[in-house]
Amino acid sequence: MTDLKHSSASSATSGAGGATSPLDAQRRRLRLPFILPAVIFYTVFFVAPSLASFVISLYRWRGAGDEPEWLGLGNFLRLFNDDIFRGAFVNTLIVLLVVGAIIFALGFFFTAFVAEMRGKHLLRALIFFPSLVNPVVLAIAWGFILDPTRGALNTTLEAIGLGNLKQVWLGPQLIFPMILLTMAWMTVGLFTVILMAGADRIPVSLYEDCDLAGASIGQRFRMVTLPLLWEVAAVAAVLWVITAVKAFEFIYAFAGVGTAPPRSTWTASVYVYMQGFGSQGLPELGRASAMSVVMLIVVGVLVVVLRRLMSRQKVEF
Amino acid sequence: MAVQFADQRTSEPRPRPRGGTGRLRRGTPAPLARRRTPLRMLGMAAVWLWVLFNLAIFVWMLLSSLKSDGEVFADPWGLPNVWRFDNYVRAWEGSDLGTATLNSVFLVAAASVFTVAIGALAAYPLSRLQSRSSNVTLMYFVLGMGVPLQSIVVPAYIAMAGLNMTNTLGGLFLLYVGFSLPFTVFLLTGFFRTLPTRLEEAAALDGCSAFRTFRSVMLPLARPGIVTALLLNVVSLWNETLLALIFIIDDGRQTLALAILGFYGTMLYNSAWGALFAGVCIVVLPMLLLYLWLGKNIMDGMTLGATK
Amino acid sequence: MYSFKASTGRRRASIAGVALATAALLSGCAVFQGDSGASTDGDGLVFWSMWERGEPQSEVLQGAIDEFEEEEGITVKVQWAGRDVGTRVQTATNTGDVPDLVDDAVEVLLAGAEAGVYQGLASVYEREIPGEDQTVADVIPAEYVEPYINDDGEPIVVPHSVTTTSIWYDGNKLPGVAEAPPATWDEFLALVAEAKAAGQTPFAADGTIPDYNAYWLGQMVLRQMGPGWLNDAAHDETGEAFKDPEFLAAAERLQQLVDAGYFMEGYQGSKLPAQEQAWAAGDADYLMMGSWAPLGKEEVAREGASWRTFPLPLADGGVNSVEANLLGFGIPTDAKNSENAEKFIAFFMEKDRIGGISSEANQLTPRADVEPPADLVDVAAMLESAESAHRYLDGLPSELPDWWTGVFLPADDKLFFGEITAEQFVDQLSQESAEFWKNNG
Repeated sequence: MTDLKHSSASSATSGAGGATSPLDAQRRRLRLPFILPAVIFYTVFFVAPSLASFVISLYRWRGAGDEPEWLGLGNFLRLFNDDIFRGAFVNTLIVLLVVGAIIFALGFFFTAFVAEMRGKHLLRALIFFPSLVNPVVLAIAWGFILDPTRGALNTTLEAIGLGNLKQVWLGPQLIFPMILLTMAWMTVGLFTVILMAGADRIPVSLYEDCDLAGASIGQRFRMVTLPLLWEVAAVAAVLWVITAVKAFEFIYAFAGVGTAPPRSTWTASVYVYMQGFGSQGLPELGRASAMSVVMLIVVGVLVVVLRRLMSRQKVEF
Repeated sequence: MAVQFADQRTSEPRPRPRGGTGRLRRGTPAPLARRRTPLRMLGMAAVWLWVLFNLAIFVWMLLSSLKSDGEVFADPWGLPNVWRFDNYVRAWEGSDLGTATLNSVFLVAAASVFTVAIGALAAYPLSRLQSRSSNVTLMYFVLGMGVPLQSIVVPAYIAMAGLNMTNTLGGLFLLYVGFSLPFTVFLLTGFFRTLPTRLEEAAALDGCSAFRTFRSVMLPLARPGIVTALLLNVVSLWNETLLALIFIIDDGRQTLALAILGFYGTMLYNSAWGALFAGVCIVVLPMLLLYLWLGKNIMDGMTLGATK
Repeated sequence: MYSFKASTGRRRASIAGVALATAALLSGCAVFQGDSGASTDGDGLVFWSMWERGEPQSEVLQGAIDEFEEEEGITVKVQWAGRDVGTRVQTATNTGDVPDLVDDAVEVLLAGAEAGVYQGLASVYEREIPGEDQTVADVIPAEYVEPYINDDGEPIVVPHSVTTTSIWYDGNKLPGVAEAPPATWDEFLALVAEAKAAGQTPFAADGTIPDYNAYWLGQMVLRQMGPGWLNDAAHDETGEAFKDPEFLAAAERLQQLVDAGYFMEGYQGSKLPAQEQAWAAGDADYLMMGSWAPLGKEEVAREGASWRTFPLPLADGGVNSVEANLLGFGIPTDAKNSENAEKFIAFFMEKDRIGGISSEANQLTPRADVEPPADLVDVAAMLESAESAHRYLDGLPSELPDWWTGVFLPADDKLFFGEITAEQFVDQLSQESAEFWKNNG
């Protein structure tokens, strides 16, 4: 499984000869001027702000004109007692787990079947397309579909005689589940394509062996595809953690714009926005930063845990 | 593209991880594998249902954009009674979608090109030098992929305020470059590693300068990877909303995502639903076209990072 | 490597690359403009408005701006920032890069003023209105502005519109009600019960907007118990204030409407403006809404609709307080051209110009000598006859935003959606309020 080992590859320059070759010398010379612009931009406009949020999180601060007041860990302590933050934090975890579970279940499912279907590329493209569309747009569209009074879903149910299945889709009980489902719908394409790309690299000979042994599609998937996809799935899982924690636009626009989304749907990233920028009252930049620091730590921990859980003996083939 | 990689492979100990032939040859099971078990039929039916559902959603969006405001709700699945192409005019003029589209096009193009340019510069030595320091540098970039965007929002706002660059597309540009770089460098480093070294060696022996080698030897070779990186940046920046929402106040400078949010806001007061969907389609269609045109690059690129 | 050239994929790719690079070059200048669209020193005037381009108010204001530019020779740069203008000004203040003039809902202006974002406007009130022999103070009734003063006792707003929250209906569909609107809670209850029995849907509500949901209980409490009651209770750090039996009675009245199934099916999850439009089309009798309710209903309204309104009828012991909410101008503390901003405000207060708010945008102006729009005759009368006035939702959304969104609205939504009883509501509110103050006190 040489392909999958790429990131740790060390052989790319193996053909270049000794350290004294002109090429190597040249490469060393060009290293700094080549790397520096990216390092500088990245450091100044991304790393520095990320680190600065740690500092800001230690103060109470309402923005320019306001004297920052040292709180130490005060913002963090308050977060632990803050029901809204706890709710938003739990919602983020729910998004992470529930949507993640749906995405990976469907992703594996599609991977197992689409590869064998005619028009596979077209199917893959159609499964993928929602991932390309601005989440704001998708949120607007789903709002129209799910509106209980005149949305397309209830109207359609009524029209085909299933009126008794009509629900208050955006009501307090269902709105968050609906957000989860539609988020899964929106994201599943990307992860399916990643898994399928991984599956494409599995040598066909293994499948032929399976066929000779008379394995069913389920067995084939379990015995060949799944184990050989494991590493790709691990990377995809990390990618999902990152995506899930920063999900913002979709939820922000889901219930409508002009007012805050209902609190029951807030995730941590929505709350950061509300605290720092979105509410009618005074911004609490320190608290907003404290929340984002917590989320940053959560991402870090989750990524480490995931890598631990999912790392296992590499399957060579 | 398939052929060119087959050529290269002879000079490389490892096969390329992506590319058409490899996929076709390795991924498709032998025809005799196809058996029609009930489970398989069911699974395939489910796949088709899902795909048709996706299609239906986008057809519905497109149809709604051509209906009168009332029809959007009254008859969600029917064809428009009268095809209202003027919805697009209403959307375009009514809420400054024109300006916003231009802003988005310029901003996204500038930020993606610049990101990929300096990202490629950095990725090249990172992919070629196996020193500890370059590994550390690469890790430094990779770590950035895990930072949620909201973490940089507050400090970035304060910093940009200090530079007098809030509410400017320039400020947004700098942040876009900053947060796009980790993935770009990661992707391109991986890509450069798959490229053969022989030609560089030849160029170096011929006395080419380092930059010249990069420009006239590496860049042409790396073009597919660079295009992929560009496209992925274009897609993610085209859809970026959080930073724009916070940084841009001036309605002459809003990006398309903001314009559509604002437009959606006015709908609550004037109910021009048809025009709203026209606006929605104006946001979606460029991505659709890009996708039809270069879709394979986009998908390959999105998966390149994960499958290597 | 030149042998790769033939690949079409590559050609496409290079076309894409060239196209993108060209766009980037073209955009170079546009993208790096440093000008931030906010206030600069000099003669201009930078105005950020709460309206979106294309709304009638923005057209009225634009008309005045054009005249102002012509007559005063002051260039006005206007941003139709939309309803989020308040947060934008707040955010912009963090950069010191603020506009000279803002128009927004008064509650948002007041919250800003308390944070030092907006300045006192006493000097504007002393200004003479061009072409009229009176000052701004002469035409804006003092009682409107009274609740909105800063620590120095100066008003922080010059209003151009007055709104209130009341029960809207179609007088053409309900002629009996138009003739004699219900005056007491019992009459009102009888009226709705009758409508329900006749197969009508009494109320429409777009339940996904929590603030709108709060209009019901807000009106029930404030009209009954008087201005400031809710605000005081919210500030009670023990949460005990909510245990007042009168408050419970108000909540019970709401529960009664909910339990009786008077709200249109699906209201809990209805997206604005779905049910509002259904109401306009005649599918429901009443809508509890601000005085913008009739706006934008032309296309969806029932034929012959005539918009009428009455205040939420009182139970015994009510004080007949009516909400008096304002939309108006504020001037940021850091404005660089506040002189020009003041000039513009006085200019706009001239009878015909502010009159556009009434004649074009169909909203009530604070100037008594401007004819109210036809749809709002009832509103004008209601404000006239009120015994006292309260702030929009008692000022809580902007004064205690965290309490409002974190404590009040979730509890209110549950009550409004029929998930909890009035008693449970009171318990939850009182308990969570106490907890809130423990953490935020």
